[in-house]
Amino acid sequence: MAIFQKAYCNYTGELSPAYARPLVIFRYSLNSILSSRIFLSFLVVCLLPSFIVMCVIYLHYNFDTLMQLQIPLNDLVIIDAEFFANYMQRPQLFFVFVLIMFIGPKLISPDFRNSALSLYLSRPISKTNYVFGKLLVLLCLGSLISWVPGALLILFQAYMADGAWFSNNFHLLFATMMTSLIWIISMSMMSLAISACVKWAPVAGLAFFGIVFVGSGFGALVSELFETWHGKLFSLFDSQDALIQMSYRINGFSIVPGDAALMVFAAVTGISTLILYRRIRGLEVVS
Amino acid sequence: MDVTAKHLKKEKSTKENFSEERTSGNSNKEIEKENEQQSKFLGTEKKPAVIELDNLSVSFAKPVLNQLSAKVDGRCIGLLGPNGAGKTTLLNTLLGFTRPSEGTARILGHDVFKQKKQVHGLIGYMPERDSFISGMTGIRFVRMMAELSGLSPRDALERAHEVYFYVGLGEARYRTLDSYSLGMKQLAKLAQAIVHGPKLLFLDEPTNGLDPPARARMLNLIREIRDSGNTRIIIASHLLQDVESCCDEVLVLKKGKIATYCNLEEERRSNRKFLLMQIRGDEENFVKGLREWGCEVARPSRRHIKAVLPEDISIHHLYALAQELSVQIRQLDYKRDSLEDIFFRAMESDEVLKP
Repeated sequence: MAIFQKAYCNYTGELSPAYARPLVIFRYSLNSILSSRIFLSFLVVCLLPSFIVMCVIYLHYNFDTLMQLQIPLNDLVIIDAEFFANYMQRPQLFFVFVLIMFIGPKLISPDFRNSALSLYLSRPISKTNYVFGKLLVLLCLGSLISWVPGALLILFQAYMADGAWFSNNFHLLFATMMTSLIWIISMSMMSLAISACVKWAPVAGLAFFGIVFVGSGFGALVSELFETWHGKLFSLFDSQDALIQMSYRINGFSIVPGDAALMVFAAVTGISTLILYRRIRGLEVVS
Repeated sequence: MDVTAKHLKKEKSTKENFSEERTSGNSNKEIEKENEQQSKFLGTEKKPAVIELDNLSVSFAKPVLNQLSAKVDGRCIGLLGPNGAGKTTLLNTLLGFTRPSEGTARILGHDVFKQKKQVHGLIGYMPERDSFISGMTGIRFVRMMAELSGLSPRDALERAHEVYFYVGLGEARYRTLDSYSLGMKQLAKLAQAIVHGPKLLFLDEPTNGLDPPARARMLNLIREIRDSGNTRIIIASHLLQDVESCCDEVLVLKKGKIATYCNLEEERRSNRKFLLMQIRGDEENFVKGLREWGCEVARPSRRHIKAVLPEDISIHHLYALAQELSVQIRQLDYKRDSLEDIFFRAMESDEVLKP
């Protein structure tokens, strides 16, 4: 029968399992984000630091190429935990921050603006499913430009160097993964929470940027005035450095203890989750 | 022995088994369980009510819904009431968006809060306000909603196309939702609400802002869905005509309580003719006199009185009363109740329906 001649009938086919529903939100959100060419270009730019690090590692172990390029071996940096922390992890996490600043608000704000939450939440999905679906988008894209290339670079370095290097620096694999995931999850939750409060995506993005940088400024001011490292806890970038220092087992990055940095990220994630839980509801409450 | 005969024999033996066991001194619980099994086997089991409210109260700063108790079981139920009566709150509570302060609500036998996911799997919801996912084409939007309800991507796409043609938006399915007119948006909202074939459909002001042809089309679609027999419908609307043309039962709310719940079909069929009178003079005493005789009286407007006379009271008695009170009866006509009458009567009455 032609499709336009069909009358109304119930659906009698099989239903997908409940765990697959957040993946629907993830798939559709990711699809709409990847449809932007500007974003795809940005994603390529985000991979540039990893590409440069890969080139440096390659050149480091290829004397012939170095000779041809007339680069003295001593001028190249030593490839160790500090090298990966400085030249790979930090730029990657900065790009993750920029990515979340631009993408995060676009995920939830339009749903608030267009009252779409009642449509989502009247279906067999919960608030948690909804947030998880949206978070998964940021988690995947963030991972794609942070710990995934990071882990590949460490494995590449292990392949180029001798076996002893990998056994001495095995922890770097977990360091890049842990640092990136903590940063991505806490920043994503914060971005989603802000966009749940601000309906207009560009304003939500600016608010996210403002909170992070105003926090850093405030933290620096408190530290200077009271001559204490506690003020640095307000700066998420300082906490990030402390996290890198702790996980990469290096010194001189931050005066903030790693445990305190972990607490900061846990607090940011907790507060954001609370805001999201309160703000995401099927009906708009007019006070 | 053919299949029917086999089936009958099996049925008989099952019945016998049931009766044998019943006589063997089982406890009441066991007997109830057996009865349930028996009725299930014979296909005569009791189906749960569409909506069951048990002492349901919802409070925000002040009580909005006040101890509602009702069993609603029509094919298409209209939810009526003046502004602030609690229609939207009741709808939101049934959808699981608002938590009751007291009591329970069940949809098709499932508790709205304890079995939220099961309930949401059974329902479709068409909100009153514009509710969309921006930047999406119509077909993609409906497909996504179908997938969220549990359909596979392939089935969801197929159903989305079917439903889009069914509501009459087939030609506009690849346009973005932002470019739709108000009427088209309403139809798109209906499409997303029915794409997964819900057992119960909530329509919140479905004809809001529609021009007459679009409104007629929407009402036709609702009637078709109702007549398909697969989906029960709850319509919350201010437009009594719309409710009257689609619904077979109405639940009227007033100040957070159920003012009346009636079957329109039965109301229409029942012989509740009433007198519509236009009078001039001492209205108050005339109404009082009618009430003393046991007449049901309503006053739709000034100088107009509606009265259902008891069997022992005739029109002559009315004239006598009018003469006694020096009231002029300017107009006298027999009429039947319309939904508007039922609604206004419920609004005027101070009584609240008790379960």
